[in-house]
Amino acid sequence: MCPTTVAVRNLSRSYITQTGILRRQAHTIHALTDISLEVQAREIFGLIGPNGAGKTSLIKILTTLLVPSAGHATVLGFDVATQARQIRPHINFIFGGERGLYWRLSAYHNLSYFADLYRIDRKLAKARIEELLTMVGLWDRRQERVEGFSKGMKQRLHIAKALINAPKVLFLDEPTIGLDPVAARTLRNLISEIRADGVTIFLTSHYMVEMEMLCDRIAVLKEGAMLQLDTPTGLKQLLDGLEVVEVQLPGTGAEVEAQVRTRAEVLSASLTNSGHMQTLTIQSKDATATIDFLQAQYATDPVRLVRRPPNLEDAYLKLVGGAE
Amino acid sequence: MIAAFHLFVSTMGVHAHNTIMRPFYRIVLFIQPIVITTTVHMIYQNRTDAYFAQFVILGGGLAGIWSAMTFSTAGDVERARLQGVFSVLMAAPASLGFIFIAKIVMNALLSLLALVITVVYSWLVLGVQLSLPHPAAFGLALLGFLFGASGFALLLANLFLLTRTAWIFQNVLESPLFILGGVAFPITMLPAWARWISGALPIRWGSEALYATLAATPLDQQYWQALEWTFITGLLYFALAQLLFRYIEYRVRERGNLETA
Repeated sequence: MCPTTVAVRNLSRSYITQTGILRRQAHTIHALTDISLEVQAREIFGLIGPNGAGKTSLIKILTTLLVPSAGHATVLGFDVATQARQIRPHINFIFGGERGLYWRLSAYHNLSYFADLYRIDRKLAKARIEELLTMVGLWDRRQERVEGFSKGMKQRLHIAKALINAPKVLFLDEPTIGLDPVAARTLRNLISEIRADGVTIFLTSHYMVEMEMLCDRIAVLKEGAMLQLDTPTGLKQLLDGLEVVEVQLPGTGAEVEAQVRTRAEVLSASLTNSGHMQTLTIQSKDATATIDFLQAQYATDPVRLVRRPPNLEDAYLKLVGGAE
Repeated sequence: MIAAFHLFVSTMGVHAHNTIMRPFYRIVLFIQPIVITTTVHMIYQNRTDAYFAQFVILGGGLAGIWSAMTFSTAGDVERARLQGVFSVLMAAPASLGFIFIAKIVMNALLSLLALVITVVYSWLVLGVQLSLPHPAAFGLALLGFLFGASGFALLLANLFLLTRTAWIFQNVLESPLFILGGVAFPITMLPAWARWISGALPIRWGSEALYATLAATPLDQQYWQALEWTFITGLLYFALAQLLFRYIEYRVRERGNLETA
Protein backbone atom coordinates (compact mmCIF):
# COMPACT_ATOMS: atom_id res chain seq x y z
CA MET A 1 0.00 0.00 0.00
CA CYS A 2 1.47 3.35 -1.03
CA PRO A 3 1.60 6.10 1.59
CA THR A 4 -0.88 8.96 1.36
CA THR A 5 0.75 12.01 -0.23
CA VAL A 6 -2.19 14.39 -0.30
CA ALA A 7 -5.10 14.24 2.13
CA VAL A 8 -8.05 16.62 1.92
CA ARG A 9 -10.76 16.63 4.58
CA ASN A 10 -14.04 18.55 4.30
CA LEU A 11 -12.26 21.37 2.52
CA SER A 12 -14.15 24.52 1.58
CA ARG A 13 -12.98 27.75 0.07
CA SER A 14 -14.96 30.91 -0.55
CA TYR A 15 -14.03 34.29 -1.96
CA ILE A 16 -15.55 37.63 -1.14
CA THR A 17 -16.03 39.93 -4.10
CA GLN A 18 -17.48 43.41 -4.14
CA THR A 19 -19.71 45.13 -6.64
CA GLY A 20 -20.79 48.75 -7.05
CA ILE A 21 -18.86 51.97 -6.61
CA LEU A 22 -20.89 54.14 -4.26
CA ARG A 23 -22.98 51.41 -2.68
CA ARG A 24 -20.53 48.59 -2.45
CA GLN A 25 -21.96 45.18 -1.84
CA ALA A 26 -20.03 42.13 -0.78
CA HIS A 27 -20.81 38.76 -2.35
CA THR A 28 -19.49 35.41 -1.26
CA ILE A 29 -18.54 32.94 -3.95
CA HIS A 30 -18.19 29.34 -2.84
CA ALA A 31 -15.38 27.95 -4.96
CA LEU A 32 -15.09 24.64 -3.09
CA THR A 33 -17.57 22.96 -0.77
CA ASP A 34 -16.78 20.08 1.57
CA ILE A 35 -14.20 18.30 -0.58
CA SER A 36 -12.55 15.15 0.77
CA LEU A 37 -10.03 12.99 -1.07
CA GLU A 38 -6.74 11.16 -0.70
CA VAL A 39 -3.96 10.78 -3.22
CA GLN A 40 -1.39 8.01 -2.88
CA ALA A 41 2.32 8.28 -3.68
CA ARG A 42 3.22 7.85 -7.39
CA GLU A 43 -0.39 8.25 -8.44
CA ILE A 44 -1.55 10.48 -11.29
CA PHE A 45 -4.67 12.00 -9.87
CA GLY A 46 -6.97 13.89 -12.22
CA LEU A 47 -9.41 16.71 -11.61
CA ILE A 48 -12.02 17.44 -14.23
CA GLY A 49 -14.96 19.80 -14.30
CA PRO A 50 -16.36 22.79 -16.15
CA ASN A 51 -14.75 26.24 -15.87
CA GLY A 52 -15.35 27.60 -12.38
CA ALA A 53 -15.74 24.12 -10.88
CA GLY A 54 -12.99 24.81 -8.33
CA LYS A 55 -10.11 22.81 -9.83
CA THR A 56 -7.61 25.68 -9.78
CA SER A 57 -8.70 26.77 -6.30
CA LEU A 58 -8.03 23.26 -5.00
CA ILE A 59 -4.61 23.18 -6.64
CA LYS A 60 -3.77 26.63 -5.29
CA ILE A 61 -4.67 25.50 -1.77
CA LEU A 62 -2.54 22.38 -2.09
CA THR A 63 0.40 24.40 -3.43
CA THR A 64 0.10 26.73 -0.37
CA LEU A 65 -0.91 29.76 -2.45
CA LEU A 66 -4.34 29.94 -0.85
CA VAL A 67 -5.58 28.96 2.59
CA PRO A 68 -8.81 27.01 3.01
CA SER A 69 -11.86 28.76 4.44
CA ALA A 70 -12.86 25.57 6.26
CA GLY A 71 -11.62 21.99 6.61
CA HIS A 72 -8.00 21.10 6.15
CA ALA A 73 -5.53 19.55 3.76
CA THR A 74 -2.10 18.02 4.12
CA VAL A 75 0.63 17.48 1.58
CA LEU A 76 3.37 15.00 2.55
CA GLY A 77 1.91 15.08 6.04
CA PHE A 78 2.18 18.88 6.51
CA ASP A 79 -0.78 21.18 6.88
CA VAL A 80 -1.13 23.50 3.86
CA ALA A 81 -2.34 26.45 5.91
CA THR A 82 0.14 26.42 8.79
CA GLN A 83 3.13 24.42 7.55
CA ALA A 84 3.62 25.89 4.10
CA ARG A 85 7.37 26.31 4.66
CA GLN A 86 7.82 22.58 5.19
CA ILE A 87 5.81 21.72 2.07
CA ARG A 88 7.29 24.19 -0.43
CA PRO A 89 10.74 22.63 -0.96
CA HIS A 90 9.12 19.31 -1.95
CA ILE A 91 6.44 20.40 -4.41
CA ASN A 92 6.21 22.33 -7.63
CA PHE A 93 3.50 23.31 -10.08
CA ILE A 94 2.50 24.54 -13.51
CA PHE A 95 -0.49 26.73 -14.07
CA GLY A 96 -1.63 26.48 -17.68
CA GLY A 97 -0.83 29.24 -20.12
CA GLU A 98 2.29 31.23 -20.75
CA ARG A 99 2.58 33.13 -17.47
CA GLY A 100 4.95 32.27 -14.65
CA LEU A 101 8.23 32.78 -16.48
CA TYR A 102 10.53 35.80 -16.82
CA TRP A 103 10.02 36.60 -20.49
CA ARG A 104 13.00 38.88 -20.77
CA LEU A 105 15.42 36.31 -19.48
CA SER A 106 16.78 33.34 -21.39
CA ALA A 107 15.53 29.83 -20.73
CA TYR A 108 18.79 29.04 -18.93
CA HIS A 109 18.69 32.20 -16.82
CA ASN A 110 15.07 31.44 -15.82
CA LEU A 111 16.01 27.98 -14.61
CA SER A 112 19.15 29.11 -12.83
CA TYR A 113 17.12 31.73 -10.93
CA PHE A 114 14.43 29.19 -10.05
CA ALA A 115 17.19 26.85 -8.83
CA ASP A 116 18.43 29.62 -6.53
CA LEU A 117 14.88 30.16 -5.26
CA TYR A 118 14.86 26.50 -4.22
CA ARG A 119 18.34 26.86 -2.67
CA ILE A 120 19.83 24.21 -4.92
CA ASP A 121 23.59 23.93 -4.81
CA ARG A 122 25.07 25.72 -7.86
CA LYS A 123 27.04 22.70 -9.08
CA LEU A 124 24.02 20.43 -8.80
CA ALA A 125 21.79 23.09 -10.38
CA LYS A 126 24.08 23.38 -13.39
CA ALA A 127 23.88 19.65 -14.06
CA ARG A 128 20.14 19.56 -13.46
CA ILE A 129 19.44 22.51 -15.77
CA GLU A 130 21.34 20.80 -18.56
CA GLU A 131 19.52 17.54 -17.92
CA LEU A 132 16.08 19.19 -17.81
CA LEU A 133 16.59 21.45 -20.83
CA THR A 134 17.79 18.43 -22.79
CA MET A 135 14.79 16.41 -21.63
CA VAL A 136 12.32 19.08 -22.81
CA GLY A 137 14.26 19.65 -26.03
CA LEU A 138 15.35 23.23 -25.31
CA TRP A 139 19.06 22.80 -24.65
CA ASP A 140 20.00 24.22 -28.07
CA ARG A 141 17.77 27.24 -27.47
CA ARG A 142 18.87 27.82 -23.87
CA GLN A 143 20.40 31.26 -24.44
CA GLU A 144 17.34 32.67 -26.24
CA ARG A 145 14.92 34.96 -24.48
CA VAL A 146 11.65 33.32 -23.45
CA GLU A 147 9.60 36.08 -25.12
CA GLY A 148 10.60 34.65 -28.49
CA PHE A 149 9.47 31.12 -27.64
CA SER A 150 6.35 29.47 -29.05
CA LYS A 151 3.56 28.40 -26.70
CA GLY A 152 4.77 24.79 -26.81
CA MET A 153 8.33 25.80 -25.97
CA LYS A 154 7.13 27.89 -23.04
CA GLN A 155 5.09 24.96 -21.76
CA ARG A 156 8.09 22.67 -22.03
CA LEU A 157 10.17 25.24 -20.15
CA HIS A 158 7.42 25.28 -17.50
CA ILE A 159 7.87 21.52 -17.14
CA ALA A 160 11.62 21.95 -16.71
CA LYS A 161 11.00 24.74 -14.18
CA ALA A 162 8.58 22.55 -12.26
CA LEU A 163 11.15 19.76 -12.00
CA ILE A 164 14.08 21.93 -10.96
CA ASN A 165 13.74 20.97 -7.28
CA ALA A 166 13.07 17.27 -8.02
CA PRO A 167 9.62 17.56 -6.41
CA LYS A 168 7.86 14.69 -4.71
CA VAL A 169 4.47 16.09 -5.72
CA LEU A 170 3.82 17.94 -8.95
CA PHE A 171 0.66 19.95 -9.63
CA LEU A 172 -0.18 20.45 -13.29
CA ASP A 173 -3.12 22.74 -13.97
CA GLU A 174 -4.08 22.43 -17.64
CA PRO A 175 -0.49 21.94 -18.82
CA THR A 176 -1.46 21.20 -22.44
CA ILE A 177 -3.84 24.14 -22.88
CA GLY A 178 -3.42 25.79 -26.27
CA LEU A 179 -0.79 23.33 -27.50
CA ASP A 180 -0.82 21.79 -30.96
CA PRO A 181 -1.36 18.00 -31.06
CA VAL A 182 2.32 17.17 -31.46
CA ALA A 183 3.41 19.43 -28.58
CA ALA A 184 0.57 18.08 -26.41
CA ARG A 185 1.66 14.51 -27.10
CA THR A 186 5.27 15.36 -26.22
CA LEU A 187 4.07 16.86 -22.95
CA ARG A 188 1.92 13.81 -22.18
CA ASN A 189 4.93 11.56 -22.74
CA LEU A 190 6.94 13.77 -20.40
CA ILE A 191 4.25 13.47 -17.72
CA SER A 192 4.36 9.68 -17.99
CA GLU A 193 8.15 9.74 -17.68
CA ILE A 194 7.96 11.97 -14.61
CA ARG A 195 5.55 9.58 -12.92
CA ALA A 196 7.86 6.69 -13.76
CA ASP A 197 10.50 8.55 -11.72
CA GLY A 198 8.27 8.23 -8.64
CA VAL A 199 6.61 11.65 -8.62
CA THR A 200 2.98 11.99 -7.48
CA ILE A 201 1.07 14.08 -10.01
CA PHE A 202 -2.06 16.14 -9.62
CA LEU A 203 -3.43 16.90 -13.08
CA THR A 204 -6.29 18.99 -14.45
CA SER A 205 -7.30 19.25 -18.07
CA HIS A 206 -10.34 19.73 -20.26
CA TYR A 207 -9.05 17.12 -22.69
CA MET A 208 -10.78 13.90 -21.67
CA VAL A 209 -8.72 11.64 -23.92
CA GLU A 210 -5.61 12.94 -22.19
CA MET A 211 -7.10 12.40 -18.73
CA GLU A 212 -8.25 8.89 -19.60
CA MET A 213 -4.81 8.09 -20.96
CA LEU A 214 -2.80 9.45 -18.02
CA CYS A 215 -4.81 9.31 -14.80
CA ASP A 216 -5.10 6.48 -12.29
CA ARG A 217 -8.12 8.11 -10.66
CA ILE A 218 -10.22 11.13 -11.49
CA ALA A 219 -12.39 13.41 -9.38
CA VAL A 220 -15.24 15.20 -11.15
CA LEU A 221 -16.01 18.66 -9.75
CA LYS A 222 -18.93 20.92 -10.48
CA GLU A 223 -19.68 24.26 -8.81
CA GLY A 224 -17.19 23.51 -6.07
CA ALA A 225 -18.61 20.12 -5.12
CA MET A 226 -17.17 16.71 -5.88
CA LEU A 227 -19.65 14.68 -7.93
CA GLN A 228 -17.66 11.47 -8.35
CA LEU A 229 -14.24 10.00 -7.67
CA ASP A 230 -13.19 6.85 -9.48
CA THR A 231 -10.83 5.29 -11.99
CA PRO A 232 -11.45 6.22 -15.65
CA THR A 233 -12.88 2.70 -16.14
CA GLY A 234 -15.10 3.13 -13.08
CA LEU A 235 -16.38 6.45 -14.38
CA LYS A 236 -17.19 4.92 -17.76
CA GLN A 237 -19.13 2.18 -15.99
CA LEU A 238 -21.61 4.86 -14.98
CA LEU A 239 -22.82 4.40 -18.54
CA ASP A 240 -23.03 0.59 -18.33
CA GLY A 241 -25.56 -0.87 -20.78
CA LEU A 242 -25.43 2.24 -22.94
CA GLU A 243 -23.92 2.82 -26.35
CA VAL A 244 -23.09 6.09 -28.01
CA VAL A 245 -24.24 7.07 -31.47
CA GLU A 246 -22.54 10.04 -33.12
CA VAL A 247 -24.11 11.62 -36.18
CA GLN A 248 -22.52 14.27 -38.39
CA LEU A 249 -25.21 16.66 -39.62
CA PRO A 250 -24.98 19.50 -42.15
CA GLY A 251 -26.06 22.25 -39.72
CA THR A 252 -29.68 21.18 -39.28
CA GLY A 253 -29.41 19.21 -36.06
CA ALA A 254 -31.61 21.12 -33.61
CA GLU A 255 -34.88 19.67 -34.86
CA VAL A 256 -33.55 16.10 -35.03
CA GLU A 257 -32.01 16.50 -31.58
CA ALA A 258 -35.42 17.47 -30.16
CA GLN A 259 -37.03 14.42 -31.80
CA VAL A 260 -34.30 12.05 -30.62
CA ARG A 261 -34.66 13.24 -27.04
CA THR A 262 -38.31 12.11 -26.97
CA ARG A 263 -37.43 8.51 -27.83
CA ALA A 264 -37.72 5.97 -25.00
CA GLU A 265 -34.30 4.33 -25.52
CA VAL A 266 -32.40 7.64 -25.55
CA LEU A 267 -30.87 8.72 -22.26
CA SER A 268 -29.33 11.99 -23.46
CA ALA A 269 -28.45 13.90 -26.60
CA SER A 270 -26.16 16.85 -27.16
CA LEU A 271 -25.39 18.91 -30.22
CA THR A 272 -22.00 20.51 -30.83
CA ASN A 273 -20.85 22.71 -33.68
CA SER A 274 -17.66 21.91 -35.55
CA GLY A 275 -17.15 24.30 -38.45
CA HIS A 276 -20.09 24.17 -40.83
CA MET A 277 -21.08 20.73 -39.53
CA GLN A 278 -22.83 19.70 -36.33
CA THR A 279 -22.26 16.57 -34.29
CA LEU A 280 -25.18 15.00 -32.47
CA THR A 281 -23.99 12.70 -29.67
CA ILE A 282 -26.64 10.32 -28.35
CA GLN A 283 -26.41 8.00 -25.37
CA SER A 284 -28.79 5.16 -26.08
CA LYS A 285 -29.93 1.96 -24.38
CA ASP A 286 -30.75 0.51 -27.82
CA ALA A 287 -28.34 1.90 -30.39
CA THR A 288 -29.83 -0.21 -33.22
CA ALA A 289 -33.25 1.38 -32.74
CA THR A 290 -31.74 4.87 -32.56
CA ILE A 291 -29.71 4.29 -35.74
CA ASP A 292 -32.79 2.95 -37.56
CA PHE A 293 -34.68 6.07 -36.57
CA LEU A 294 -31.89 8.38 -37.76
CA GLN A 295 -31.48 6.53 -41.05
CA ALA A 296 -35.20 6.88 -41.66
CA GLN A 297 -34.97 10.62 -40.95
CA TYR A 298 -32.13 11.02 -43.44
CA ALA A 299 -33.24 8.40 -45.99
CA THR A 300 -32.88 10.76 -48.97
CA ASP A 301 -29.71 12.45 -47.70
CA PRO A 302 -27.57 9.87 -45.84
CA VAL A 303 -25.46 11.08 -42.90
CA ARG A 304 -22.29 9.68 -41.34
CA LEU A 305 -23.05 7.54 -38.28
CA VAL A 306 -20.65 6.11 -35.72
CA ARG A 307 -21.61 3.59 -33.08
CA ARG A 308 -19.14 3.18 -30.21
CA PRO A 309 -18.87 2.25 -26.53
CA PRO A 310 -19.00 5.21 -24.07
CA ASN A 311 -15.74 7.03 -23.26
CA LEU A 312 -14.70 9.30 -20.40
CA GLU A 313 -16.15 12.36 -22.10
CA ASP A 314 -19.57 10.67 -22.22
CA ALA A 315 -19.33 9.89 -18.51
CA TYR A 316 -18.24 13.47 -17.83
CA LEU A 317 -21.16 14.89 -19.80
CA LYS A 318 -23.57 12.66 -17.94
CA LEU A 319 -22.14 13.75 -14.58
CA VAL A 320 -21.88 17.50 -15.13
CA GLY A 321 -25.15 17.69 -17.00
CA GLY A 322 -23.87 18.81 -20.39
CA ALA A 323 -25.92 16.15 -22.10
CA GLU A 324 -29.32 16.86 -20.60
CA MET B 1 24.26 30.72 4.03
CA ILE B 2 25.96 30.38 0.63
CA ALA B 3 22.61 29.50 -0.97
CA ALA B 4 21.07 32.62 0.62
CA PHE B 5 23.92 34.75 -0.74
CA HIS B 6 23.46 33.24 -4.23
CA LEU B 7 19.75 33.92 -4.09
CA PHE B 8 20.34 37.51 -2.95
CA VAL B 9 22.78 38.20 -5.77
CA SER B 10 20.75 36.47 -8.46
CA THR B 11 17.56 38.25 -7.35
CA MET B 12 19.42 41.54 -7.68
CA GLY B 13 20.61 40.52 -11.14
CA VAL B 14 17.19 39.41 -12.37
CA HIS B 15 15.64 42.55 -10.93
CA ALA B 16 18.18 44.85 -12.56
CA HIS B 17 17.72 43.09 -15.88
CA ASN B 18 13.93 43.29 -15.79
CA THR B 19 13.90 46.88 -14.53
CA ILE B 20 16.36 48.39 -16.96
CA MET B 21 14.60 46.74 -19.89
CA ARG B 22 11.47 48.79 -19.21
CA PRO B 23 11.33 52.03 -21.24
CA PHE B 24 9.14 53.73 -18.62
CA TYR B 25 11.67 53.06 -15.88
CA ARG B 26 14.43 54.48 -18.05
CA ILE B 27 12.40 57.67 -18.37
CA VAL B 28 11.95 57.84 -14.59
CA LEU B 29 15.63 57.17 -14.01
CA PHE B 30 17.16 59.34 -16.73
CA ILE B 31 14.60 62.05 -17.59
CA GLN B 32 12.79 62.70 -14.31
CA PRO B 33 15.89 63.94 -12.42
CA ILE B 34 16.49 66.46 -15.21
CA VAL B 35 12.86 67.67 -15.10
CA ILE B 36 12.89 67.97 -11.30
CA THR B 37 16.28 69.69 -11.25
CA THR B 38 15.17 72.18 -13.89
CA THR B 39 11.98 72.92 -11.93
CA VAL B 40 13.81 73.39 -8.64
CA HIS B 41 16.39 75.54 -10.43
CA MET B 42 13.63 77.83 -11.69
CA ILE B 43 12.14 78.08 -8.18
CA TYR B 44 15.45 78.98 -6.51
CA GLN B 45 17.24 80.88 -9.26
CA ASN B 46 16.69 84.32 -7.69
CA ARG B 47 18.24 83.27 -4.42
CA THR B 48 21.88 83.86 -3.76
CA ASP B 49 22.24 81.98 -0.48
CA ALA B 50 23.58 78.49 0.07
CA TYR B 51 20.16 76.93 -0.50
CA PHE B 52 20.50 77.51 -4.19
CA ALA B 53 23.15 74.94 -5.07
CA GLN B 54 22.03 72.61 -2.32
CA PHE B 55 18.45 72.29 -3.33
CA VAL B 56 19.00 72.39 -7.06
CA ILE B 57 21.56 69.63 -7.21
CA LEU B 58 20.99 67.55 -4.15
CA GLY B 59 17.22 68.10 -4.15
CA GLY B 60 16.90 67.09 -7.77
CA GLY B 61 19.12 64.06 -7.24
CA LEU B 62 17.42 62.84 -4.08
CA ALA B 63 13.98 63.33 -5.59
CA GLY B 64 15.17 61.27 -8.54
CA ILE B 65 16.38 58.52 -6.22
CA TRP B 66 13.07 58.51 -4.36
CA SER B 67 11.00 58.44 -7.58
CA ALA B 68 13.05 55.63 -9.06
CA MET B 69 12.76 53.59 -5.88
CA THR B 70 9.00 53.94 -5.40
CA PHE B 71 8.33 53.55 -9.10
CA SER B 72 10.46 50.46 -9.34
CA THR B 73 9.01 48.86 -6.21
CA ALA B 74 5.41 49.38 -7.31
CA GLY B 75 6.27 48.47 -10.88
CA ASP B 76 7.96 45.29 -9.82
CA VAL B 77 4.98 44.13 -7.77
CA GLU B 78 2.63 44.99 -10.62
CA ARG B 79 4.81 43.28 -13.22
CA ALA B 80 5.18 40.14 -11.12
CA ARG B 81 1.38 39.98 -10.89
CA LEU B 82 0.91 40.40 -14.62
CA GLN B 83 3.63 37.90 -15.53
CA GLY B 84 2.27 35.37 -13.07
CA VAL B 85 5.65 35.00 -11.35
CA PHE B 86 4.29 36.02 -7.96
CA SER B 87 2.89 32.57 -7.40
CA VAL B 88 6.29 31.13 -8.30
CA LEU B 89 8.08 33.41 -5.83
CA MET B 90 5.57 32.87 -3.08
CA ALA B 91 5.44 29.09 -3.41
CA ALA B 92 9.24 28.82 -3.34
CA PRO B 93 10.99 27.96 -0.07
CA ALA B 94 12.79 31.33 -0.03
CA SER B 95 11.16 34.04 2.08
CA LEU B 96 9.31 36.67 0.11
CA GLY B 97 10.65 39.36 2.47
CA PHE B 98 14.22 38.30 1.70
CA ILE B 99 13.57 38.43 -2.04
CA PHE B 100 12.10 41.90 -1.71
CA ILE B 101 15.11 43.14 0.26
CA ALA B 102 17.38 42.02 -2.59
CA LYS B 103 15.16 43.77 -5.13
CA ILE B 104 15.08 46.98 -3.12
CA VAL B 105 18.83 47.02 -2.55
CA MET B 106 19.19 46.78 -6.34
CA ASN B 107 16.65 49.58 -6.72
CA ALA B 108 18.73 51.73 -4.39
CA LEU B 109 21.91 51.06 -6.36
CA LEU B 110 20.23 51.75 -9.70
CA SER B 111 18.60 54.91 -8.40
CA LEU B 112 22.04 56.35 -7.56
CA LEU B 113 22.28 56.98 -11.28
CA ALA B 114 19.63 59.67 -10.80
CA LEU B 115 21.98 61.58 -8.49
CA VAL B 116 24.87 61.22 -10.91
CA ILE B 117 22.70 62.49 -13.78
CA THR B 118 21.56 65.47 -11.68
CA VAL B 119 25.11 66.44 -10.72
CA VAL B 120 26.33 66.21 -14.32
CA TYR B 121 23.28 68.01 -15.75
CA SER B 122 23.48 70.82 -13.16
CA TRP B 123 27.15 71.34 -13.85
CA LEU B 124 27.06 71.13 -17.66
CA VAL B 125 23.66 72.68 -18.43
CA LEU B 126 22.70 74.87 -15.47
CA GLY B 127 26.24 75.87 -14.55
CA VAL B 128 25.72 74.96 -10.90
CA GLN B 129 28.39 72.90 -9.20
CA LEU B 130 28.13 70.78 -6.10
CA SER B 131 31.01 71.29 -3.71
CA LEU B 132 31.63 68.66 -1.06
CA PRO B 133 33.61 70.04 1.85
CA HIS B 134 33.05 66.79 3.80
CA PRO B 135 33.13 63.99 1.23
CA ALA B 136 33.34 61.12 3.75
CA ALA B 137 30.44 62.49 5.79
CA PHE B 138 28.51 63.02 2.56
CA GLY B 139 29.13 59.39 1.54
CA LEU B 140 27.96 58.17 4.93
CA ALA B 141 24.84 60.35 4.80
CA LEU B 142 24.10 59.13 1.25
CA LEU B 143 24.39 55.55 2.47
CA GLY B 144 22.02 56.45 5.31
CA PHE B 145 19.56 58.02 2.86
CA LEU B 146 19.59 54.93 0.67
CA PHE B 147 19.22 52.68 3.70
CA GLY B 148 16.28 54.70 5.03
CA ALA B 149 14.64 54.94 1.61
CA SER B 150 15.06 51.16 1.19
CA GLY B 151 13.39 50.49 4.55
CA PHE B 152 10.51 52.72 3.56
CA ALA B 153 10.24 51.15 0.09
CA LEU B 154 10.14 47.71 1.70
CA LEU B 155 7.20 48.80 3.80
CA LEU B 156 5.51 50.17 0.68
CA ALA B 157 6.08 46.81 -1.03
CA ASN B 158 3.90 45.25 1.68
CA LEU B 159 1.13 47.66 0.86
CA PHE B 160 1.55 47.04 -2.85
CA LEU B 161 1.30 43.28 -2.24
CA LEU B 162 -2.03 43.62 -0.52
CA THR B 163 -3.65 45.63 -3.26
CA ARG B 164 -4.02 45.02 -6.97
CA THR B 165 -3.80 48.76 -7.58
CA ALA B 166 -0.21 49.38 -6.53
CA TRP B 167 0.14 52.01 -9.25
CA ILE B 168 -2.49 54.25 -7.71
CA PHE B 169 -0.75 54.16 -4.33
CA GLN B 170 2.60 54.80 -5.92
CA ASN B 171 1.29 57.88 -7.72
CA VAL B 172 -0.65 59.15 -4.71
CA LEU B 173 2.24 58.70 -2.30
CA GLU B 174 5.16 59.89 -4.38
CA SER B 175 4.69 63.68 -4.21
CA PRO B 176 3.52 64.06 -0.56
CA LEU B 177 6.46 61.96 0.64
CA PHE B 178 8.74 63.95 -1.57
CA ILE B 179 7.62 67.17 0.16
CA LEU B 180 7.41 65.70 3.67
CA GLY B 181 10.84 64.13 3.22
CA GLY B 182 12.43 67.57 2.88
CA VAL B 183 14.06 66.34 -0.27
CA ALA B 184 13.76 69.40 -2.48
CA PHE B 185 12.37 71.98 -0.04
CA PRO B 186 13.42 72.80 3.53
CA ILE B 187 11.23 71.21 6.20
CA THR B 188 10.99 74.67 7.84
CA MET B 189 8.64 75.68 5.03
CA LEU B 190 6.07 73.13 6.24
CA PRO B 191 3.42 73.74 8.93
CA ALA B 192 4.24 72.36 12.40
CA TRP B 193 1.89 69.36 12.15
CA ALA B 194 3.44 68.30 8.87
CA ARG B 195 6.89 68.49 10.43
CA TRP B 196 5.78 65.91 12.98
CA ILE B 197 4.80 63.49 10.23
CA SER B 198 8.01 64.27 8.45
CA GLY B 199 9.96 63.21 11.54
CA ALA B 200 8.76 59.63 11.05
CA LEU B 201 10.27 59.43 7.57
CA PRO B 202 13.84 58.18 7.23
CA ILE B 203 14.33 60.13 3.98
CA ARG B 204 13.68 63.39 5.89
CA TRP B 205 16.58 62.62 8.28
CA GLY B 206 18.73 61.32 5.46
CA SER B 207 18.28 64.44 3.38
CA GLU B 208 18.89 66.63 6.46
CA ALA B 209 22.17 64.81 7.10
CA LEU B 210 23.16 65.20 3.46
CA TYR B 211 22.40 68.94 3.41
CA ALA B 212 24.38 69.38 6.63
CA THR B 213 27.52 68.10 4.88
CA LEU B 214 27.34 70.84 2.25
CA ALA B 215 28.23 73.67 4.64
CA ALA B 216 31.92 74.56 4.65
CA THR B 217 31.84 74.89 8.44
CA PRO B 218 32.84 71.90 10.62
CA LEU B 219 30.17 69.22 11.01
CA ASP B 220 27.90 69.99 13.91
CA GLN B 221 25.55 68.09 16.17
CA GLN B 222 22.73 68.44 13.61
CA TYR B 223 24.55 66.18 11.14
CA TRP B 224 25.20 63.40 13.63
CA GLN B 225 21.72 63.60 15.05
CA ALA B 226 20.13 63.48 11.60
CA LEU B 227 22.37 60.55 10.63
CA GLU B 228 21.44 58.70 13.78
CA TRP B 229 17.75 59.17 13.13
CA THR B 230 18.17 58.10 9.51
CA PHE B 231 19.52 54.73 10.58
CA ILE B 232 17.12 54.36 13.52
CA THR B 233 14.00 55.09 11.46
CA GLY B 234 15.35 53.08 8.51
CA LEU B 235 15.99 50.09 10.76
CA LEU B 236 12.53 50.43 12.26
CA TYR B 237 10.96 50.38 8.81
CA PHE B 238 13.01 47.33 7.82
CA ALA B 239 11.98 45.50 11.01
CA LEU B 240 8.33 46.50 10.63
CA ALA B 241 8.32 45.48 6.95
CA GLN B 242 9.81 42.06 7.75
CA LEU B 243 7.28 41.49 10.51
CA LEU B 244 4.48 42.57 8.23
CA PHE B 245 5.62 40.31 5.37
CA ARG B 246 4.61 37.20 7.31
CA TYR B 247 1.20 38.67 8.09
CA ILE B 248 0.68 40.08 4.59
CA GLU B 249 1.67 36.79 2.98
CA TYR B 250 -0.99 35.01 5.01
CA ARG B 251 -3.55 37.73 4.19
CA VAL B 252 -2.77 37.44 0.49
CA ARG B 253 -3.29 33.67 0.69
CA GLU B 254 -6.51 34.26 2.56
CA ARG B 255 -7.88 36.89 0.20
CA GLY B 256 -6.69 35.17 -2.95
CA ASN B 257 -5.46 38.40 -4.58
CA LEU B 258 -1.99 37.27 -5.47
CA GLU B 259 -2.55 37.33 -9.20
CA THR B 260 -4.57 39.42 -11.57
CA ALA B 261 -5.92 36.34 -13.34
